[in-house]
Amino acid sequence: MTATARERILAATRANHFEANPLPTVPQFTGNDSVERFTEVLQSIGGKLCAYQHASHWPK
Amino acid sequence: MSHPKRAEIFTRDAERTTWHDETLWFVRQKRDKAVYAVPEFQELRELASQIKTHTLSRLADYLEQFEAQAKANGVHVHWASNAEEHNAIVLDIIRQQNATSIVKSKSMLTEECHLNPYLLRHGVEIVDTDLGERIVQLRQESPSHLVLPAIHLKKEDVGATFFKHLGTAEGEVDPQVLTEAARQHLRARFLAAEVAISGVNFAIAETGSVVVCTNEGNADLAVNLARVHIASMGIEKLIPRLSDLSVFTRLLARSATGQPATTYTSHFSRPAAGKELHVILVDNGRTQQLGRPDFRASLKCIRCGACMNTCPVYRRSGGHSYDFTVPGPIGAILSPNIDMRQHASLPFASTLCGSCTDVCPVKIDIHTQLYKWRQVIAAADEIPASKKWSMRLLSRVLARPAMYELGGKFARTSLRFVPHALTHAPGYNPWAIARELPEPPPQSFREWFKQTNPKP
Amino acid sequence: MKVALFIPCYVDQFYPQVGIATYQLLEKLGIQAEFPQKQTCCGQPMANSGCEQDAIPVYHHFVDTFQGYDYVVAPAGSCVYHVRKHFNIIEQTPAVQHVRETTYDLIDFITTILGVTKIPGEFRHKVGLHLSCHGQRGLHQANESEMTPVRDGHLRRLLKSLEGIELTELDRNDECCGFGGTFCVSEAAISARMGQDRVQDHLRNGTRVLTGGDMSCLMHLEGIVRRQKLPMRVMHAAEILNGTIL
Repeated sequence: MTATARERILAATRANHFEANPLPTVPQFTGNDSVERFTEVLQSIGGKLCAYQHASHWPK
Repeated sequence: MSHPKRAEIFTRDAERTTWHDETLWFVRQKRDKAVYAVPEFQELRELASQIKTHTLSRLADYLEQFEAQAKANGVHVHWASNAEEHNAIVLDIIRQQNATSIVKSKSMLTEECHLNPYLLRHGVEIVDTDLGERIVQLRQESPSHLVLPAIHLKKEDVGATFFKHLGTAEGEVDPQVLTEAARQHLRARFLAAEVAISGVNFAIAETGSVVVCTNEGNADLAVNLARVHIASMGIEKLIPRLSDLSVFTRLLARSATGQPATTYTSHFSRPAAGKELHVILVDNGRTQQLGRPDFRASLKCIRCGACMNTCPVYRRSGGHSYDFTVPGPIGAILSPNIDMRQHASLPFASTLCGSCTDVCPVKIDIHTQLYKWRQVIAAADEIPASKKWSMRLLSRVLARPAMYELGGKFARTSLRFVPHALTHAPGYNPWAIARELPEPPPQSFREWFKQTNPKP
Repeated sequence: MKVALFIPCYVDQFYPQVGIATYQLLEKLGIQAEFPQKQTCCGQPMANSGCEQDAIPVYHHFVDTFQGYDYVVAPAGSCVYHVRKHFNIIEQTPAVQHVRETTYDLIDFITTILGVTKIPGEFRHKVGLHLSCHGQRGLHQANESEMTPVRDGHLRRLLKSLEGIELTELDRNDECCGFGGTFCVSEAAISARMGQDRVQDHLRNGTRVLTGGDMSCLMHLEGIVRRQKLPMRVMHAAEILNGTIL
């Protein structure tokens, strides 16, 4: 019986595995203030930031 | 036809070349603005590169993990070694559904597999729903760019195409009117579609889900309306974890168009009730490329198109000059893997300026790979014989100082005495088509040096 | 300090004034450079054409010629980049490693080895700086627009230190000129178009003297400037810097 595509692909892939770096951890990049950045970018494109404590405080 | 020939034809329309160059340079500038605004952008590139390299280094394991997870989610997983197998799987699913109405959102893989003509040959018509894709489909052309498939066309060209196919007024060039005509035309196709085919931007091994990024929302509309969703992907699209995706979504749209994110980033994990989700994992040369240590990094590509927008050659020669599904610098390192002879001129279609490498969000060493493909292609005797022998001769001269000195002197003095019309004759000297040769000076540097610093 | 000049073939034969300026500039900065007469080429034309194997004897000849020096200095970033990056295919003997590590582009040598950051003198012209890709992206001589909006670099600083100089602000600060070695003939149409666009950017923004650190780009651009009879002079940076110091 001939090999299925699945078997062929997995075999060919596995045959070409190589030594490499481990999977890196993805940091959270908390270094910059995202609210500040957001405000800055928003204003740079002509937007205005309206901050409310809670959604119920939004103007009707 | 080789790249230089097709590029030369493209540049004959100087005004259009200028327009093409400036349009894509504008996209490159948008990318720059977006990139400069992210302080950790270079860190993200490094992370993305590491994630992709790691994934490729043990791809079989991640493929198995993905398959198991997707199957557990109720997804049908198919494997295709090549384009023919992929196309047959798609046709088979369509036939099982007795479907006649098929829509497709953007997928470079199905372009690579030439799915549309295959289905047409089997009596199945397929409608591309990405606006740019639909435009080139109506014109029976191939996309000229990964992200901007119809970027080679001006609004006048689109107007003429829509006049012919969609019944817009003759001479209509208002982009809003043309887009609205396309919307109306496509809306009917969306509503009628029984099977929707999409590409895949990322497949996540740990969740078994596929992620599709679009700006037009056409993929979402199509797959949510149709009964069956077929997602076709190259096996290199895999990433290990959901958290890895955050790195790539921050890089992809910024690199592609300068947007912070694509308008739609949709995760497909399991079929909705009563519906089917099929994922096709396609090799089509990828495992072969994985087996080439010098070139396997090309499989890290996330198809953002940034290398095209920045490439000074691509901008002035157009995507079709590459005559390969993926044009530009990345296409020039992917194509020789598929057919070295046919694409032999592509790795030479570069000044090796390195800008492609510097914009690449996953840090593929594109220009180094271009250089390395040149070595492989020359070693396989796929460069013009004239070049091969002149380089061999040059090497002889350059390893022999006396011969070199004589040769240099000969070149310079001939230039001084042979008439300009002869040294600049078109057809004999490609340099002189657009440039003057240097004014030959009476004395070379080495002659000057000998004279000024006589040996004691 | 034993310093050898490497004067690329096309500079030797067609732009001896650039070699002379390099030599004299170094002399003024206190370096008596030597010129080994048996030197030829770095091998780049063959290697970039895919014939790296044919270039191996040339690489060996290069190393053989220059191994006895502390530094090798060339007014051409592209050749230097080739020596540093692509001489990796021959056996890495101590001599090969030494030559690869100590071959410098003239401007790099002046700024990083000699520590010169200012040139006393004046040059009252509007000067357009052409960055060579191999110098900028390959040898990291200047910031890249792919990474940062800040336009900075060794040569830019040196030129700015000249009194009266005005540097052109280009629309595209670091687009390739399209020379590309054998690319200029194998892809003649694109090469010409790239060069013409580069020259137009300078013309549009007022460049009267077009300069740079790599004579190969400048040879190509000069060919276009002369063909189009544009009011622009093309000079290697060594010529400008040498001309200003007395």
